Amino acid sequence: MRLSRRQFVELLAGAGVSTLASSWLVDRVFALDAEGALPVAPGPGIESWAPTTCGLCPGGCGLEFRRIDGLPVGVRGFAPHPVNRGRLCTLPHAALQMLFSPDRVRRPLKRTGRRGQGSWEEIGWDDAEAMLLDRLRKLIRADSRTQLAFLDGRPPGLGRHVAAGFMRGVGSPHHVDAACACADRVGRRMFGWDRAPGADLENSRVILLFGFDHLETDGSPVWQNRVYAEGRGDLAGRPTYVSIGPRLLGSAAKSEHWLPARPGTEGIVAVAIAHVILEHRWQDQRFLEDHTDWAESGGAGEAGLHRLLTVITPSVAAEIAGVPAARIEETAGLFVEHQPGIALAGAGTSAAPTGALTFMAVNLLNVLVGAVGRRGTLVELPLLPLGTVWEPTADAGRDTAPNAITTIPQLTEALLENEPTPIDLLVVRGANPVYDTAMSRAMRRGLASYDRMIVVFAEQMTETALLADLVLPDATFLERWDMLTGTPLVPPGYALLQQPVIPPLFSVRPSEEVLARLCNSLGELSRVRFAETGGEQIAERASRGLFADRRGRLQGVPSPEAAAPAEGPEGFWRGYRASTVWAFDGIPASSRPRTQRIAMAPGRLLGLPEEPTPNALRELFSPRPLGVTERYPYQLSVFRLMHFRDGATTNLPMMMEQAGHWASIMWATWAEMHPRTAAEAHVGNGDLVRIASELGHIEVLARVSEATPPGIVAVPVGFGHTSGSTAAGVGANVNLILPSPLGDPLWELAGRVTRVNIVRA
Amino acid sequence: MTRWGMVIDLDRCTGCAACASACALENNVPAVSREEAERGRSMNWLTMVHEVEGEFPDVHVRTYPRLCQHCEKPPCTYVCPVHATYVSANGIVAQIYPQCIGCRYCMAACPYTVKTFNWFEQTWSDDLRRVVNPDVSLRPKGVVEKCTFCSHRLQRAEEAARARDERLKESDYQPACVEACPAHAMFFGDFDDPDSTVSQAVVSRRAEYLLKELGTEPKVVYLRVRAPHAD
Repeated sequence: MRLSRRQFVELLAGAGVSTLASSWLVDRVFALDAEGALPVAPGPGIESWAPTTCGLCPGGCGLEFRRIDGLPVGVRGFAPHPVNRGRLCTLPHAALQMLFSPDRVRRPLKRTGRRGQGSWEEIGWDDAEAMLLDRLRKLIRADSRTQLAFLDGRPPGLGRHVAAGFMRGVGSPHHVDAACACADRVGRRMFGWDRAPGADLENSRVILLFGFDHLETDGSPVWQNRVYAEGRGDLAGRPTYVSIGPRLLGSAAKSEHWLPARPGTEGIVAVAIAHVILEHRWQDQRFLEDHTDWAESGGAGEAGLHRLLTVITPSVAAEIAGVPAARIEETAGLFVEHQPGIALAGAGTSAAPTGALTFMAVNLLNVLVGAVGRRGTLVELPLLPLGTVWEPTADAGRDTAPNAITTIPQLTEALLENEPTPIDLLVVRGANPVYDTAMSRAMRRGLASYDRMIVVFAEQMTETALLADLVLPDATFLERWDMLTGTPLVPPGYALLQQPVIPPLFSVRPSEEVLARLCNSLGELSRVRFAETGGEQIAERASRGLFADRRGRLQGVPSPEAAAPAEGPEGFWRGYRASTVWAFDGIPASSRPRTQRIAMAPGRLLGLPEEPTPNALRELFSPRPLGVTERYPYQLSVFRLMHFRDGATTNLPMMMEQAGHWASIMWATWAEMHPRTAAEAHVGNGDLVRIASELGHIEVLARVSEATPPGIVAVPVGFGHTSGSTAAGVGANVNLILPSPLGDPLWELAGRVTRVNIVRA
Repeated sequence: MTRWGMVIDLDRCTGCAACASACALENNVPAVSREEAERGRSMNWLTMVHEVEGEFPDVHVRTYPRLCQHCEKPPCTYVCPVHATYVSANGIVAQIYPQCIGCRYCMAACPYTVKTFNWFEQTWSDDLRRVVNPDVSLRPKGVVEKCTFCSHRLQRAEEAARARDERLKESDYQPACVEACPAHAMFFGDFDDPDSTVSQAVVSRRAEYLLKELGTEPKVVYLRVRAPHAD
């Protein structure tokens, strides 16, 4: 029931003072409405602040929500938090718009019409869970456990761990990471570490950013903004930032140097820098001999590293990347001279077909100069010691199997080709692959089949949820429990508590609770049993692992109560809830490579053919954009905005209003291009232009600027949704004109390199 | 006397625009519709400005947040026919919404183009309307609005300091944009207090004012980038 203010006043006047005290009226005043939404009338106006961890990017910032009578009305950075120290980026300011969005999925929805038609029947949770359980039981009884796939958009942490338990319980290895895991994979293969390499940026003197957008979208932007800003002291003492990539606007604008490399060519620039380092014998020979397989990495059959470094000279790289050879040589000198330093590859590179190679090449630079395991260089971060929340009841297998589907291209191939296995049941959470990857079109085709069941946990209706058989309303990060590991870019490694600042609205249930309950409801069919199925109980059990681990402690504790967690796990839990941060005591000494040797041979890493020719090595790092030059003379560069990231926050009105500040364009997609490019295409600033690749076209506004290299057209992702009351129909989705390479697990979300032409619309 | 003002270090500012979002949330500044945005009726009190200078490849970007400069001699107050805007005793240029008749003379007079007009009733969904910042009133159609240096925070801070029987400290009162800035590039305080952060910062040789030649005497001071970009 909802009451208007007028009805409320009338109610008070009519009821009189004596009635005011009655429980009936008190219930009316303070109760939640039938949907479990907001209180129906103002309360006594009591202010409180609730700390939690932001869930809008993997950065791991601490937030504090201001609540009036339990309703969140504002947010600020959580001052004691070591990651953001009370500061914020733009995203959390729109968190309340996300929580109260008119597009929230409020109850479980069952498809009644054709796929994608948008016809739904609201059903209860019991019916929804029964549908899912039926399908799971059928799979298990038919010995088809591996026909379940789970596409997971949650960042690493407890929520992901719960889903892993669910998958182990059912018995499928196909737990797919919706984010690109290039850094994790290459880092793991090269360094043998459990996580992607961490970076001690605070103590670095030179930072090479290969498509790494440190101030807007990669890593932990708030942390990196502070590190950058605190380094802006005297000119003599400041760290040197070098951005390598096609776009100046954004992070590169604040770097000391910008090497305007063509899209997808950052990797070959890194190899050429390595060539210069070796040519001048600037490498850390002792480190190479002690800690790497450098000596044997030139052998035949492994795409010999030494051969690669001989072939890719600065002039070869200059031809492919469009960066003058002299700038490459100068950058090599800077990197060596100003050590300690770090070279980082970011999402801007991982999305190119050369992505995995770029990560390998950039890490190779770090290894060559011995920038590993020292102050101001790459460091190893340990895995979080989470307490046990689920346990195997039978042979639960392993997390990974030889043919496990772990990336979106692999999943798309499985959906389209039934290889390596048919998928009978697909569960999606926190991801929108039909919209936000270069696999967009292929994924839509893959989800068209009626033979399989598609279940989507969604906070808001998305393009992917529209194709589901069952949509389950998931909790936003303001309504759920989680423990996040944060990004490895913020050492020494954290367990960041996410806790509800408001109970779940409507009929929303956190997906962790649903998955744990489903797993237990399978009874003996499940190979895993959860000790608890409530969100808070799961988180509390997980926190016992932190309590027992002596390598870290609670951080930034704001109250004496939280500072004395020595009274056992319960006291620790109370302290953790007040602090929200547990951290390792420092970068572990073990980050120096120990027994394992850093694997440097690209052939071994990437499975290349034996005896590669110089041309093959050269081709290896060439992004080969789709389309012929004569017809499509320009290269498309795709970039992300802090306000939208991959498009998950586009539907928030505040973000839509402010996202275009770099171009001074609101509520529309733009294409940045050089005046010469614009003149060739007979386009003026602000004109509506059609940008076409071999796969289709989009219409966007031209933003003509000297900040974009000639021959390149830069377009942001995040616009062109077909779902969402704010986002639908605004601008164009650039993913639709990008190629969709299938199958190669190392290319991840590859494909963001294509040629285009431009004509006035 | 107290003279509140702001210093923005452009050497630190990264142009992320978190300040603009913090301002919008704190002050209940609504997002307008697509149609209204296309007609130039967006309501931002603080805008991040980027100016590209030079020619490729010798090009760099000048970035700065633009907000009400809280001038000592504000052109907007001179032209207001109903005294709906004035310089308050603490230096903040105030805007009295119920007094405003919507003539927009002040908007025309402001050389920094930082005032916005409510062309229509602000629209909020039912749920969002109930969770707006209760410290800041929603403005009606037909009035001009602008940055107030989050003066509602000053009111709260002054009350709290009085209750503690203490003097107001600099850290007690910080506008939302300053509080949020991830690059710690914005500083706020009392220019009349020689020990304040802003007073210390403003003597820098890097200090400059927007359109200084107009003689408006802004209380928002920008510190220039320390060196031209190498590229």
